[in-house]
Amino acid sequence: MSLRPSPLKAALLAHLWLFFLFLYLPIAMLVVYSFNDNAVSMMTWNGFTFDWYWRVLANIGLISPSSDLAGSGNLQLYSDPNLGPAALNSVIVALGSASLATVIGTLSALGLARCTFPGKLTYRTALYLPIVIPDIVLGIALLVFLAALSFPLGRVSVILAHTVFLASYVTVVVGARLAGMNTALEEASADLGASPWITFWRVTFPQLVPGIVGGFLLSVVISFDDLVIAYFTSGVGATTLPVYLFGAIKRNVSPEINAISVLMMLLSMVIVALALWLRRPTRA
Amino acid sequence: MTSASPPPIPRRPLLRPGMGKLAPGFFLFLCLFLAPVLIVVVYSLLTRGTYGGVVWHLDLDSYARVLGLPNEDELRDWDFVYLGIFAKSAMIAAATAGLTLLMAFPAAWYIARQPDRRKFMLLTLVTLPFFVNALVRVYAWMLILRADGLINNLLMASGLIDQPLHLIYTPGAVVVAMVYQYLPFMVLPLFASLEKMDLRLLEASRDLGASGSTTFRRVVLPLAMPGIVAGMVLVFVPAFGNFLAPTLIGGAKDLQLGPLLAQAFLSARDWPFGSAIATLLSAVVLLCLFVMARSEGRQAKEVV
Repeated sequence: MSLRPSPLKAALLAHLWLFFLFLYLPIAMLVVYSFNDNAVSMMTWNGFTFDWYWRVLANIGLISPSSDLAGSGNLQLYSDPNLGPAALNSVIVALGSASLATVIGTLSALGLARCTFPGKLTYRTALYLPIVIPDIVLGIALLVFLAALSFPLGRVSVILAHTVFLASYVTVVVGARLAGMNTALEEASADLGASPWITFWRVTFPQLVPGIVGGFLLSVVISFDDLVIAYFTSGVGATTLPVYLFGAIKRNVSPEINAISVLMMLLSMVIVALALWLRRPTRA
Repeated sequence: MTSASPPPIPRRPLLRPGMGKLAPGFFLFLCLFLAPVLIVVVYSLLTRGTYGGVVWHLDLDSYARVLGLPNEDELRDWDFVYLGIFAKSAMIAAATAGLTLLMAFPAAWYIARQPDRRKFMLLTLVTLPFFVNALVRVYAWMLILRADGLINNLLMASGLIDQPLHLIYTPGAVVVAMVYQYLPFMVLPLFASLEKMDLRLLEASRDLGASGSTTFRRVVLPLAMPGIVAGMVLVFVPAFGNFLAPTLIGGAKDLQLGPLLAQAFLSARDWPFGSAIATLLSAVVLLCLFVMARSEGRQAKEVV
């Protein structure tokens, strides 16, 4: 690309470095300071420790707070009975809503791609609304709606609330995959005498699998990430991890919150990396 | 709001084979999106009940309150506090969108001129932080901006200041946290329109004697406009109604729409008033999206 001489290019490259520094430095800082052995002044480096992670894991119940760990000082006098249930709620809500949304969204994408009907464009546009409407408006609307129906707030209400916007999201992801698919294979299958049912399962579905799995994984991450909608629809008993964390942060910052944040980040990153790898461009 | 039910057309059957697949999604959309949103619009026209909830008495007083109109029955004088919150939220969101554009444009330009593999890799790097929990990202900025946070620690240690700067709980802190949060929303549409740009047009402009800045103003900007508009809208919209950043690092005096809405529903329990704000917020959002769609449509026409 013969664009313009190198000073501009050098400036652009320098800008890109600063840009990525801005994007990744806060995250890196959070990770580094989550190992800081300073319970009083969190942002003053005092030495390396795993204590905050042991605490969090012991609170979730993944490890037992054994005596050899308790000797290390920071581990004493700490138990938070709300963290474990909140983590469990988040997992249940994420898996439940992502599964429902994947089924419903995939069916919608197939219906939209393979049928024509009046008002289709309007409907397709309307399906974007649950994604683009501010999450606080959706959360409030669902709160008001569930209250009007006297529907009890709990895990079920959060799962339903998440399913609404995740289904739209899956519809878009799977729809994009469908749009890039070659219909000649389906036509060939039909010409060779396969029933529509066989054609779907043998030809269409295998090609769709990466889109469907990718949509599911991204849905899990987005559900796991959501604070605002769960904040309004979870009620008292079904606090999810972000809602728990939000309450904890509002009270005060603490080294345990750092550790929980890093663990949540790690989980999201692993799932997203998997999803991106599945959706990577395969054709040259 | 758009109605999804198709108008009846004679001769052709309304339900075609395969449309059954749309039923679950349509049902979900109708029951858990359209109905709740319409209820909010209806509630905004009702009257507040004595113990929260609503009374079925139609009036526009909630909107009058938002707009600051006086009401003699309620002993209320002119009061523009809520319009002020709207204006402040809009200004903070606009500042966020503008700053995001300035940061994202050169980066998107550079990425768009890379070979395909590097493009994909760089775009992945841009998107990846977006999937870090939004709460965690705001929290990271709390640790950076606090009185005993990273910036103040570094500045104090280097001897540049001897009193911690007041960084957190300011509108500036909210803007920085939201720029951080929404950068990918700006980079992706900008990249899409910059990648399509025909670089020969730039060369032609230069050959015809235009200066660098003229070329940028008269050729690059118009061609990038759909991406710029889309990016600005995609950042402005979630920033306008943002709840997290203003709640955690915004000042108590600078109330913004998101926290105001939460207050109206959770602590004040004034549902008609909260519904009126939510309805107005949604109207602004839809207007922005409409502008974006029109800008893209116009561009498509001009290319043809």
